[in-house]
Amino acid sequence: MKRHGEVVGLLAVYRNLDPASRALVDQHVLECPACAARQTAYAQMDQALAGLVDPRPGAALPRSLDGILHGRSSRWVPARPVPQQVRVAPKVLVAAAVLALIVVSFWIVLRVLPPTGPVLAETPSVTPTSTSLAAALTPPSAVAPDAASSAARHLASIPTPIATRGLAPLVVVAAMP
Amino acid sequence: MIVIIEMIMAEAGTGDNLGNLVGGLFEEHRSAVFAYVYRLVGNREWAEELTQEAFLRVYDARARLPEVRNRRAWIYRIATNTAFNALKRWRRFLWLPWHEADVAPLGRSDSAEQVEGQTLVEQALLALAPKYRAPLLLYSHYGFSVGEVAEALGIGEGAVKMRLSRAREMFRGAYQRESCR
Repeated sequence: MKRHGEVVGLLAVYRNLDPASRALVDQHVLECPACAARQTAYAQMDQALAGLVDPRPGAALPRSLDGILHGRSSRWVPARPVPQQVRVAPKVLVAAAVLALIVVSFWIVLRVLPPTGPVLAETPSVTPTSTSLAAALTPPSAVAPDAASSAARHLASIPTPIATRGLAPLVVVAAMP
Repeated sequence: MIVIIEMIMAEAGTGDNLGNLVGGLFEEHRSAVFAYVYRLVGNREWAEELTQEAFLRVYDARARLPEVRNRRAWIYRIATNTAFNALKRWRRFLWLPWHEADVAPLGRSDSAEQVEGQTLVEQALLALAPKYRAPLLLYSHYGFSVGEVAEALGIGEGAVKMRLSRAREMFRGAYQRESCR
């Protein structure tokens, strides 16, 4: 069985075998029908492949080397236009990523966070006091229009803390390793 | 001074000789290398361009020619590398159409059976991956020895035997499938 596996490998290169290996193969083939069939198939394969008619080059392939060299010096272009590979240093990539992160963080903070969130907490005039439970459960505009309008004026007077909010992602980025 | 000028002249003469040598190699192997590259990449125009590219590489490396023992294997190695690199670059071997009209430029005297047989062989060959197609072509079509195939592909003889053995079995299977269609 060991010899069978060995012979199968040798059959693929039968033409190039040394006399000893060839004798081994010939002896085995006499006893093994599978290897005999394989040897015949390989011989036919070699015959078919050797008999293939080669396609002839067209006029695009010059007949002399001078033609190719002349073509290279005057109008030669590579076999296919290769896209230029842009080589960027890793440090530049990291810096670009950090910058992009900062810009995106700014954008998110400016767009997503409600601008009145922290300000409302600072408006004690809107918060219901302990005057009555009914007044506390009623919407402020319905209960105390004066209080609502004063709260609005108060809100307008307080500057929007954009700068403070914008610093938050910077702190996050700076804390990153 | 005279010695230096003589050295420069000798160098120039050697360069010219090597250039002429490459020119002779080109004329000798031009058609066969084109056919080989064509069977690897499966496209006529591309094969013509790659053949030019391969011989330009041969020309650029002509200074190494005196050291090369087997010039044919060396040329095929450069052609193989050029074709494989192009295939790798473009990943076209999976979907490239096979131009049947280009495959079998047979004469009028060839019978329909011969044409059909040749087409079947070409189709079965095409079914093989280039990694296996190349050694089978070099060994069985171009008559290279195992050592020459190893040199042309830049691999060891053991690897060539292994690839040839697998390629033959793959070819058998592909040929049977093509015959049944």
